[in-house]
Amino acid sequence: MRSKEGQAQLKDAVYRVVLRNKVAVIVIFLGLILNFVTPLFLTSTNLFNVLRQITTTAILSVGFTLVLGAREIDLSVGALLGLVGVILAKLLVAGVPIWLAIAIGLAFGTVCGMAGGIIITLFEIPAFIVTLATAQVYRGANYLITGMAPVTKLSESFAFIGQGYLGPIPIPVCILAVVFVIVVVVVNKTLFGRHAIAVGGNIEAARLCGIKVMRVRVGVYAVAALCASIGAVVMTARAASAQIGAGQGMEMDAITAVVIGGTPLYGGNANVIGTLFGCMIVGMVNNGLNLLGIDSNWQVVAKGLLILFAVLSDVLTTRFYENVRRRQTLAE
Amino acid sequence: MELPASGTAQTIDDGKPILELHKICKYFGGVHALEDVDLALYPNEVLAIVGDNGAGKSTLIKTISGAHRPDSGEIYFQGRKVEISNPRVARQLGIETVYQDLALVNTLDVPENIFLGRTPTRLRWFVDKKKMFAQTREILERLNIKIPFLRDPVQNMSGGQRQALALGRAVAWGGRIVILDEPTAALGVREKSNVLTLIKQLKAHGVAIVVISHNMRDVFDVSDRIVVLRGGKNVASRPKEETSMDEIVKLITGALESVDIAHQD
Ligand SMILES: Nc1ncnc2c1ncn2[C@@H]1O[C@H](COP(=O)(O)OP(=O)(O)OP(=O)(O)O)[C@@H](O)[C@H]1O
Ligand SMILES: [Mg+2]
Repeated sequence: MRSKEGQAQLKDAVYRVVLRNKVAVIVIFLGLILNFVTPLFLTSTNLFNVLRQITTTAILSVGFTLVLGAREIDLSVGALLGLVGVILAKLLVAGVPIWLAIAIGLAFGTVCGMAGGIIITLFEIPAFIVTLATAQVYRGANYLITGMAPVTKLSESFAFIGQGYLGPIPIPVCILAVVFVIVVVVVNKTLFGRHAIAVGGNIEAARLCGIKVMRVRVGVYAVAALCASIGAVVMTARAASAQIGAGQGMEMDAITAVVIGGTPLYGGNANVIGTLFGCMIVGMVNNGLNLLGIDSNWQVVAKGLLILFAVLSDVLTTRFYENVRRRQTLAE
Repeated sequence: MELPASGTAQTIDDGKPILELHKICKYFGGVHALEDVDLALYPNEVLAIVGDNGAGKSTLIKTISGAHRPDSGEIYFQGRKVEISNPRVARQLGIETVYQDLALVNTLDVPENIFLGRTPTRLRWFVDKKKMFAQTREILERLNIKIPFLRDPVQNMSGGQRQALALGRAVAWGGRIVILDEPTAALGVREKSNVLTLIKQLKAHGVAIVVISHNMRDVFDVSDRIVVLRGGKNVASRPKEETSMDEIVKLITGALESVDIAHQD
């Protein structure tokens, strides 16, 4: 009887360590597999490639962590990224100074996010349906502005933001680092961040304790939209052009990365560091499939499966903790 | 258990109610949760609200705590008409509430729950974690609440600990009115007697207390006056000395219609 209990406890402990660090475990596991199937994977050129490919997604996902942590969802961030990108490019082509164009782009994106948040909270409409609609609006606006043609030939000094280096470090990575640190501080140390997590954990309790729930929720959408807009700057600068398809489907990458990273789908927690690892997983899967020369349509399938896997692992994690808790309460 | 030394209400007991509800109505769709409820609460008084499931007890206290806005009726605080349009207003008036479902955020730790909505800050935007932890320890010690790991999310705590925490959160700030919606529901014998003692101490400090309970023994133990709700109506208000468990139970079930309306305030 005793040893059985001990065994169960040990099993719990092992599970808990694995689950708490599941992103790291998956990254290592995936790395080992990829290293095994293709020697190209573990070269520094390739690893830098992966890193560069995920920076835009990562900037977006870091902000998205707060959204999921607050138990919100924003399916429009990818389309917004695309729209901000073309607006930025058009402004630059029209001769607007770089700093002003960027400022306008970021402000525009943030206001769009806030507007969506206000519609969601004011009329109490499910966020996914509102943001699905706004995504459509952003995409349409994108096509109207560009006339379905990419905006190309942006100046070299602008492209520097996406292609240049600060010492040995690519500037996009520096931008990611800054965004990351700020969001970590916001989520963990600021009143706004803690209120967002409280709203995600129990919106009614937050309201009853006097938190201005609506403001917090709108703020969360603003943060996500701002991060998406920063992502737009980086992406546009890196390509020195704005592609009309830019950002498409990126919200799905973000959801995958955030949820694999350990932020629960049902809010109340936000693991920003986990999100970075989650982005690495998304990047590694894409990169691995590329290296293996697998049909790009299969890559789409793989992405979908990855989302399912992420959500499933989240649900199983939650269920595991619930079971442990139930056993503990029974034991008491 | 020791009560907050600082900030405890200095209510002048001039025999007038600290809180008065007048003809409060609340509808949820077609459900008349509250119909023309009158209620008075005096300083230094423990008022028990009893009634069957769905009688409207929680809805009634939620109109006082700012969780619900009544559809009609007036609320007077110390004789002054007030609109308790949200929970912040109630807190500013010194009305603290422990809700039936406790209103804790399961994923947050103990200090964050205690300070929910009143978090101390540094440099305006930043949470003062240190201060939160120090004050939390102090509050828990003062109220004799034993919670070993303050950093754990409160979902890992036992039902009794959670209830104690919610209670501590309400009484720690020295409110003038403390509302308790079934405060002993999840408690063991010892914890329950702790809570009942705490209620008496709060009363001794001049706090007015509203307590909802299904447990008649607790009700008769701590309360001074008992109000019976049935079907959203206030059907009786009895000083404890002038009634019996038997009568109250009959009033709750409707076996005894309240004839002496004169008794009500
Ligand atoms: N938010 C709500 N939406 C719709 N109906 C509600 C809501 N809150 C309460 N009601 C209804 O109002 C009535 C009174 O409910 P209330 O929770 O006040 O009862 P109660 O006396 O506290 O019961 P209990 O002893 O079970 O806690 C019930 O019919 C309930 O279904
Ligand atoms: Mg109730």
